[in-house]
Amino acid sequence: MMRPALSEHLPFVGALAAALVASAALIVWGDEYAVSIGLTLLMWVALVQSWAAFSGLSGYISLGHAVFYGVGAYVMVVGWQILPVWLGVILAGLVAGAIALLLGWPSLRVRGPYFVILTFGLAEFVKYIVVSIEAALGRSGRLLIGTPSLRELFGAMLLLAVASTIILYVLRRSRLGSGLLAVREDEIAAEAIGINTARTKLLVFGLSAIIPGMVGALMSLRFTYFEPMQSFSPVTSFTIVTIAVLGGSDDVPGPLLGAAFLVALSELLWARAPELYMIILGVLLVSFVLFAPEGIYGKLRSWNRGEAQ
Amino acid sequence: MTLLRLTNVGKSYGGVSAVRNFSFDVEEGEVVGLMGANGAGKTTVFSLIAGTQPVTTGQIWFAGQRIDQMPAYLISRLGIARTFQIVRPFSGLTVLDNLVIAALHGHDRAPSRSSADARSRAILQEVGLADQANRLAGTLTLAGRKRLEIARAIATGPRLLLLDEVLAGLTATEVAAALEMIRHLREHYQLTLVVIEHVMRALMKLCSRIVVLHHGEMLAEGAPADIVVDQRVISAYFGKRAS
Repeated sequence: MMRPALSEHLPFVGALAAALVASAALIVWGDEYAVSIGLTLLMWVALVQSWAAFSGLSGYISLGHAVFYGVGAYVMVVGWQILPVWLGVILAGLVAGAIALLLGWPSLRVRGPYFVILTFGLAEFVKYIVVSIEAALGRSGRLLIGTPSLRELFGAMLLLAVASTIILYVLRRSRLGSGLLAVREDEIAAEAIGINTARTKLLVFGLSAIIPGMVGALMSLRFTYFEPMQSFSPVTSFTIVTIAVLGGSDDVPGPLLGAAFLVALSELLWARAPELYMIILGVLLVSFVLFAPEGIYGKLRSWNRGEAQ
Repeated sequence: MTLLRLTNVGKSYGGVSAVRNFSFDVEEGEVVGLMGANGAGKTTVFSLIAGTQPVTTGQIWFAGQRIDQMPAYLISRLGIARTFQIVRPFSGLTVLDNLVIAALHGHDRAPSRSSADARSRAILQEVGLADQANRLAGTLTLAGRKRLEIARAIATGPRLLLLDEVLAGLTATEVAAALEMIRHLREHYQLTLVVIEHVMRALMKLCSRIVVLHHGEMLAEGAPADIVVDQRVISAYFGKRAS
């Protein structure tokens, strides 16, 4: 962290450019199946990078990020055929950010397992509010007709994945991000060196919800259907944390590696051994927590450090 | 000029009062020692000044501004830095990053990362941690972590530095080196210091004035040479002389 030389950013810029070229090639030459896998991968990248911008840097593990995805999807379907599609996506992000500020204000006062449980509970709470609203309106689901094509959605998701990656990269090296790292390490010491910890946490929590809201909006366009139990499913939050644990969430490469690993694994096993998929995933997760809690990227880094010494 | 003023400051926890009716001034550029037996309320006084805990009664003024109702981060930004008796390094970050973060947020905020980096490296050089810059802070020895604690506080660019037993637990050689370092830092950064210490010889060498706390109240105040022969202080520390 924190060395000012320009050359330090070269690997990041290079990797980003390579990813963009690969994605462009996929849009132009890829078949429907390849593009849809690409879309799923980019979705997880965007979600986990956004999550890591808050939870990875602050150490406050949010188990409620599914709520922002769900809120985004809900804003999209409510505004469907009222708002222009892409304006709906932006609005979904802003509403998700506002909800995060509202939920973060009380919940960021506790930390550790209390924060984890509280974010999970609040996410479920919002889910059932939406379920109730939909039931009161007499709707059991909403259909979206005339949504953008898969390739258009892929392009939009690519933008979000790139944006979330750049945000995490810049944030981690910024004044604001350095405050968040200090919060992760020791909140009292952080206050003592001039960091407004409450404001720092809330601000980044709000920021980290915007892109997940937009991702939710895009995915509702992809599924062309909205059902609150599915859009607000806590499995989204669990998967985000799983990817972060597998890859590491301390810096940009972690979520990328984790997302690629999980998407590849699920594609390999889903069709061939569906009954084994969750078992294998569970075993992997336990092994990572026990033997490589810093994730794939953290492990690679510590090997590197070991070799350097 | 009076830099810090405490007037009738008190702190109680439920029915227990840790500090009672405590008043004292610190002039700019002064080095004041704060001593007293364990539990006398020394660290509580630091926590009240630094805003880590709110006062129950009384007022605290710093450079003409009332600070006893301010949160800790604002007090730090005004120019008061403290170390913690039980050190609190950012263990998972490198030694350098511990300082860079402080330089980016404290009183004398570095305008950019590169200037924060340069300031931090200069301070590390002065506290003798330059060769440890890229180590994780959690892997330093106790003496190293104490130095880091001082270095991080200085990286905020303070006017007033509160040192809480930074010599405790160090060997005699380490104490001598640390004393020399503190004296040098004080001159170089033109700091005003309030020092909590049990090592009497260190206080004698560093301070121009010593304040003695006993059960949360001021027992004595004066030049070090007078304090060491003060009968009230001697009996508070060692009990009454057997006849």
